[in-house]
Amino acid sequence: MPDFSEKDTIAGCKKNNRVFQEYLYQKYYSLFLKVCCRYARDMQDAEQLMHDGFIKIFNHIHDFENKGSFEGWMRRIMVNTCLDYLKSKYVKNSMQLYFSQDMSENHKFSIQNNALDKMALNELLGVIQTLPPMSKMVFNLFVFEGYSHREISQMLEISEGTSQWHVNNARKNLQQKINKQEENQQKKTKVYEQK
Amino acid sequence: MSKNEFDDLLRKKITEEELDYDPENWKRLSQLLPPALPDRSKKWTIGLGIAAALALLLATTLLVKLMDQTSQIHTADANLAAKAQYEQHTISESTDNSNAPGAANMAPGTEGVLAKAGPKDKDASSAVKMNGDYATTTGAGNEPRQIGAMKEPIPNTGTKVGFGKQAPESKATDLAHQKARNSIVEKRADPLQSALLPGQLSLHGKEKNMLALESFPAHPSNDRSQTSIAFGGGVNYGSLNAGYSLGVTAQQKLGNHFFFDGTVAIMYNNNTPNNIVNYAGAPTPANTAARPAQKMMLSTPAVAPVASLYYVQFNPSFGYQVADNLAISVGGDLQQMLSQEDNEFRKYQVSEEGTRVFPGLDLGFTGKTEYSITPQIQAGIIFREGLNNLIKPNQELPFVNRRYIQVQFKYNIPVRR
Repeated sequence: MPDFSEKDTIAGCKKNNRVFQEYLYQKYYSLFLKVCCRYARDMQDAEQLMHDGFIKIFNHIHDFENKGSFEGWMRRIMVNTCLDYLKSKYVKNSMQLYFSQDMSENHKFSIQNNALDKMALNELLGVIQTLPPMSKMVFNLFVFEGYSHREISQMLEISEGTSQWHVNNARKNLQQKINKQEENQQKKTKVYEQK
Repeated sequence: MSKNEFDDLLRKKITEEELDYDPENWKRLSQLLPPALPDRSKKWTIGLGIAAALALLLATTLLVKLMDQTSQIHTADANLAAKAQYEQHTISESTDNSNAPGAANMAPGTEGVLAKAGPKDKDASSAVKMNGDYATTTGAGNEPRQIGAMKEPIPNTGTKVGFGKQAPESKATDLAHQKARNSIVEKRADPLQSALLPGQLSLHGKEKNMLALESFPAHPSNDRSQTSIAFGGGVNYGSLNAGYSLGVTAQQKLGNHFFFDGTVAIMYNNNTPNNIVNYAGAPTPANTAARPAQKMMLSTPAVAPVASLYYVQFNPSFGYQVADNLAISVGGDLQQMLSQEDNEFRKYQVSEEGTRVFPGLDLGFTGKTEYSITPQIQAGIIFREGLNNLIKPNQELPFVNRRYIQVQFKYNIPVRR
């Protein structure tokens, strides 16, 4: 596909031109799917979230005034779509909102050597998806979207302390799961070598 | 490992790696999007262009007809003037030849002249008689005069009447003389034979020229620089270029066999079977590596194709008349695209073989064969080949080769000179 400039792409999308819409979709597919995967329960939900986000982008593209980053503008729409999803009653009722056990503050952050490097992206995203909705929201907003605890507390109507708690617990949870996955992988490797 | 380090590792892992693109996802999304509406913002410019072309066609036709009528009038006037001139010359020559040996035999009496006259010349005889009476009335000394001698003043009783002057009482006489002259002129079936006066052996150069004028037809058929204007239309058949055209052709003959013609037309191309899309022809940004051209799958039924392309065509060509009804010609072809919705957008043809761009100014080569069904109606077949890729080969994307065969019909309006 030919490479189009951002200006032309925006102009084409404003005219509801399918070709430019598809070009935009293809260009930001990976980026926004990763965003949605971090907020969704599974890949299927993530794809649906991404589609919802793109629909909002195409519907509101006339509101973009060519000031600032177009990617940043789209990303904000995508994240807000994901947050709306996690805040929905359906998700809240269907998912465990909090961790089953409180992670001790004394827990040391450590992951096994190169565990993250060995882990596939899909696997890592899958691990993130297992986080409870609220922790997932706060963790993503803090670590990946760059919001401060204060901003998160205002957005989600929680206290800053609660925001910090969610981030810490999410980190520990991820670390545990990553290490566990690495151990399982090493065991599989050993068994294979023995055979 | 600190908290920040863990966060950095996570960010790095997620940022650096990409997820594979699945075209099926776009299919699903496109079905959720609102339908693409056709852009009608500038369709009126196309309609206006077509209307202008039709108006030009009509104006040209009317102008040609007007010029045709004017040229007919001028030709008729010229012929009348030539006739009158010839008649005067003939009359003057016949007067001069009255001294010729043959003529002398006729001198004694007008009866000799009358003997040559046919039945139509009964009036002539009476005119002569009247002339004689006229002469008689002139008094003594009158001599019988031949018809050609009318330019000399005829003696009369006290009244001098010269040629071209008419006394009221001599009007009837002059009319009779005019009749006589006309009847002799009419009798002249064979210009050469009848132009020879009695006793005259051959025509002089002047007489020959006058005869040539008289025998010169009203519409000269041997004018070699003949111009004609035709209007017509055609149907295109091609892999990308099914469509129609409507235009005006002006043709100028060069000699007996060669001709030059030029066509101006509006062309409509219907490209529904192909994916033709509006792309902005923007170059790759300087700070990013150019991506290799990818095959764009025809995976999406929701691509909004531009079905109609409109062009203004100019097609000059040089031809040879193979036979009376058959001509062949070759020439160049320039077609300027009209249907650009926005100056920023170009038209692309996207297929499994790759992406090609429709040139805004399409240059091509044509070969044509024309058959004249009647002098006014011609049928032709034109083959067109695009030349943009040859002229500008090193483009980022190759041009679409608008190759087609056109079946054409024309109505010819000759413009005479």
